[in-house]
Amino acid sequence: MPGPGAAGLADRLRAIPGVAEVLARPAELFAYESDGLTLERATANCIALPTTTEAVAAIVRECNAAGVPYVPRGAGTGLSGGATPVPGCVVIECARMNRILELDAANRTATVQPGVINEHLSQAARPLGLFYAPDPSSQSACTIGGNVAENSGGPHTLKYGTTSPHVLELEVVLPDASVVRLGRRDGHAHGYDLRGVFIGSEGTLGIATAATVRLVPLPETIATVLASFASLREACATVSEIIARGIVPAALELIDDRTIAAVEASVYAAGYPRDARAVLLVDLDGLAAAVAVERAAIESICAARGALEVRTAKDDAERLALWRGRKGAFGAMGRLAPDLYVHDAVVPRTKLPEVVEAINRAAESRGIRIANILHAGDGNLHPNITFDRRDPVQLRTIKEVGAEILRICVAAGGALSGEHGIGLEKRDAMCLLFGEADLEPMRWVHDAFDPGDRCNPGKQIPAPRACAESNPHTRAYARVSF
Amino acid sequence: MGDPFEAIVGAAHVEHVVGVRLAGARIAAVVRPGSAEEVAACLRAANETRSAVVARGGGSKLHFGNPLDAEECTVLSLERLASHLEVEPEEGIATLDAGVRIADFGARAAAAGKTTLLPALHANATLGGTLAADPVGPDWTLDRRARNEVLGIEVALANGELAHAGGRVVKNVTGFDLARLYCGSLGTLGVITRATLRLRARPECERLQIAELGSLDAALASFARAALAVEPAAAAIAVGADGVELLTYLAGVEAAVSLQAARLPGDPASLERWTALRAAVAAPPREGRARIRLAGRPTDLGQLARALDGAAGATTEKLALPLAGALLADVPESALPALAAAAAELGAVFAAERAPGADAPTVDVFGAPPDALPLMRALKARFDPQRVLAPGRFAGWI
Repeated sequence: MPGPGAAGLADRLRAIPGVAEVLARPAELFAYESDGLTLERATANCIALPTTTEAVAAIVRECNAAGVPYVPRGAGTGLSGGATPVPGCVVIECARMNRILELDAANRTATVQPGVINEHLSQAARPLGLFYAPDPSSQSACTIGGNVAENSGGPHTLKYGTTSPHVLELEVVLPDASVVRLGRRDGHAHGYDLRGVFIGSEGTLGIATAATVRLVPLPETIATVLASFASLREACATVSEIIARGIVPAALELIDDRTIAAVEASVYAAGYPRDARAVLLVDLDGLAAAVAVERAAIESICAARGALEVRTAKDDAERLALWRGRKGAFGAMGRLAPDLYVHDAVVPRTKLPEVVEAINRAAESRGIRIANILHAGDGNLHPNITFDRRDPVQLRTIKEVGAEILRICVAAGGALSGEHGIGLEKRDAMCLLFGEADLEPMRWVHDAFDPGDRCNPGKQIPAPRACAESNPHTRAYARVSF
Repeated sequence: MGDPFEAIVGAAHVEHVVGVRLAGARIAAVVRPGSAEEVAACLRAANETRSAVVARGGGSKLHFGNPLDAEECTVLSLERLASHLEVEPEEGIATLDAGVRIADFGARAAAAGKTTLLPALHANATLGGTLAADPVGPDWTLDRRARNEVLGIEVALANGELAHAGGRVVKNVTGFDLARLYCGSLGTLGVITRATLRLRARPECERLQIAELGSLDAALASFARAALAVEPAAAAIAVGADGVELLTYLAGVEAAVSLQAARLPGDPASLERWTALRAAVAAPPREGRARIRLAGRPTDLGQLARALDGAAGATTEKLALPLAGALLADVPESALPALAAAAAELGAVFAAERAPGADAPTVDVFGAPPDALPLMRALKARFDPQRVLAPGRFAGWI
């Protein structure tokens, strides 16, 4: 909880050079009570919007002097509560640090401030024949700093990987307000890979104030294939066969009938077949000669698996329309209820059919209907639960369903999150997967970076002994998982 | 009270050694644990007696690193930890013990129509040694690193516990990404006992294209031009007494590989040339010489080569990796201080692998300490408070 130094803190932060704005009125604080996970809410002392690394360091110094915790925030699109305020904290929002500092075409890198929007970076790199590969569905709003914190993925993770392999160097304001570089802009850092452990630490180890990232060449060609199926099981089997045949699509997405219905009834309507139980969206990219061979193979696999329809987008307009439906699917669900709980878990890819069916059954037995979006090639599920958080019964039920989804996925040999992170949402569920011996090294890392526990405290890693108390059998689980 | 290691692994698996030194320390014994639990128990025993432990895989990188900050050490040799090798082609993963040889793993993956991106530079290279040492080879590129292939990891810690991170799925952000921390840490944070790795699709076609060019700069420029229209798996420029050769390694669908070969300068060549390059890089340097690595951005390579020539002589044979921004060369030991200084002045990374049995070096073989050294020391202090895990061996004498 905030110390006595909290009084007048907002005014002291306003006096720091390079702080664009400090928000402290109740209506302003209300807007920052949650990130994209609206299930968890808390009120901050104030919201500080720095524009420079020095300003971030000065804010951290003031927070430390006042004994007030702070929470880094990008665009607030995170879905696990990583940017949910700790009560009475200072939220340090990096959205105003939105300059692209350097585009280096010869070495295929970009150096950016953390508030640069993911999609803007790719747009800026396009004239150089390059793009930034990680593409979360929120890429038109989410920031590189937030992506670094969450080790964000996206549909094209299947071929290109998540954020971590794309980040070469980070400039970080540590919890003691010092500034350090993790990694190197040429990718040749020696010593421990602190860059690697910082990425995905969900803002608990410090604040990234600049990042040098890899850019990759725009593919010579892209083909988008849509295949529809009468059963989810056949669609999943098709995914497994594509991977088993050694084809690595850029993306291999699956959406179920409830998602199709929501998309087709929305402004994101993409022409998905409404009578299908599942639609696969496959992106192939690279050299035209390779894409042509892979496209023919995929079309024949889909046909042999009894696809209702297989079609390849004729041109870029049709291709982009197919993707607009997929990327807009989360927004499309806004028509169904005031709130959306976007769940995220990951299982071995061959377990997808039985896991999705088990999740649907678990939800339906509690009167909840789920719409599924899957990064099927990665075994990454997004069961989407629509609800009204003003109804306490619904709220309790969807939390139960969320917990049950995790139990189902862990029992199938999976993990708690493929790309949204742990945050507040799944912190205590870490005990399903890890025992105290596994969590202890994570706490050592945290303690080395933030011995005072001031930076986004209480997120991601459960408190010592929490797992032993909640699940004494966890060790057995962890042993089974390897 | 008897030998604590004999009590853990049995007397038959402890070899007491006389008169052999490793990285400046006297080897007291070579201990061969047969399970991950035995590895953990050995570390617990070492921790209790504050005795230094060096983990050994295939042994090719045992001499790599700074001298041990210890008079005496125990070598923990993991060749018995090799019974588990599970390849799951449909999931695209494999789980194997630290002592499994990469060559054996590669053969099993190939039989299942898959491959691994982990380099099998040395015939006896093991999973544990490869992850811990993160060796450099001609296949190195900016995004092809051992750490990117690890999905889950099991590590024996100095406190005697076995800890896990990651899992058996191909995409996972559950907790801190500790696998990346252990990879390349040269056994100074823990001893890797098992890992789950990503399997890759086995390319339909592999081909090597070689072009002779007039100079390193000409080869770099030629590759930079061609690289816009090709997607090579790896590339190397060999600069020697006989001239300069650009070797481009292509892999993928046959039609695409042929097309790329046509877009590159030079002619098709036998893949054996590439295999020979791997073997040359894997072999330890000769007595009195050191294998150095200078690294920066790809556009720095020309400047790095000139710095190398300046410190080690203009006729120094070298291998430039344009997709990684790295330069490899064998130089006389006496050139190391000048090279380390030149790298520091250019802001480049320097690392030296010295000949087995060489005397204590006069320079940190990892070059100037990284910016985040205080944080690295803080980590080491928490993972290994008694400093028993290869103390002093790593960057910054950690």
